[in-house]
Amino acid sequence: MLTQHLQSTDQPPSDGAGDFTPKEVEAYQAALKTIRLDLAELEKLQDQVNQRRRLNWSHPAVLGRPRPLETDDGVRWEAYGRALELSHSEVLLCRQASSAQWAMIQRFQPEGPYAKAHGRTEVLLTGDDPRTLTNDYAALAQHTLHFMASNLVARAQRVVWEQFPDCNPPRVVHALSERCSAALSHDLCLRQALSRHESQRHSRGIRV
Amino acid sequence: MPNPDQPAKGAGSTETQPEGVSVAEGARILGLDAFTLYTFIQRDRLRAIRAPSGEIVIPPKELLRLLEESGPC
Repeated sequence: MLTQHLQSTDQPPSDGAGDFTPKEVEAYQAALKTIRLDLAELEKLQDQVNQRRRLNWSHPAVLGRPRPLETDDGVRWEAYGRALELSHSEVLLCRQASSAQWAMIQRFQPEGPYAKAHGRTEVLLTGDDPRTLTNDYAALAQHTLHFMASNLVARAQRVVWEQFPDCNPPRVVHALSERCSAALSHDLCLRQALSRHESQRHSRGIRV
Repeated sequence: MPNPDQPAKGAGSTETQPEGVSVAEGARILGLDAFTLYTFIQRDRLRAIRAPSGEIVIPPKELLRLLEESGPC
């Protein structure tokens, strides 16, 4: 029953061309399963980017108390906030000690091969205004999220064409593409509303 | 986004997948997150290729090159 409920929320989004056939739904769900974890990660990152966009980074209350940070070239910074939290690193908004220079600095976990070879920190962007810097970084991050999403769609597309070639693959792949696009929505409320709408559509069907 | 109306090349065809690892696997090997690896590809720090299916594939020698290049870029 629980598995059924979980599966019922993975319905393809409506495309205005009538209900999806059972085979099309099966193809959609099989492909979605292969990218589910990465899609969840994508949504979490999009949420972070959305939240950071809404903050006024130049306001003292938002910046909070800084923590010292030293980059691998010996330069001292003060880390005022986290722009992005990733699984193996974090991106921090920093101001150079005794300077008006701001930067987005990525700090890696020390035990990874890349960090051991190149050091724990990398300066990604610099500027003299934290708000502009944050907006610029958010734009770059958003671009990367789009890139990630396109790769997920490509992976899912391969599953559909290889395993379900007779199930109207263009329609199924379009639905998967819409699903991935929804993950990139800037509007969290819209995403939640779409998710509720999909659940309710199927719930009504079950009652009937 | 990949074209949904075009069959993923290589799907059921004789075209072979290029040699390489996925972005997720490349990230695991380097001890990084996938997001960071995608940024490396976008900034041309890491060369990746598109498989016939449209997926990003990273040649293993590229991972080695990235580890061996001197200092942070």
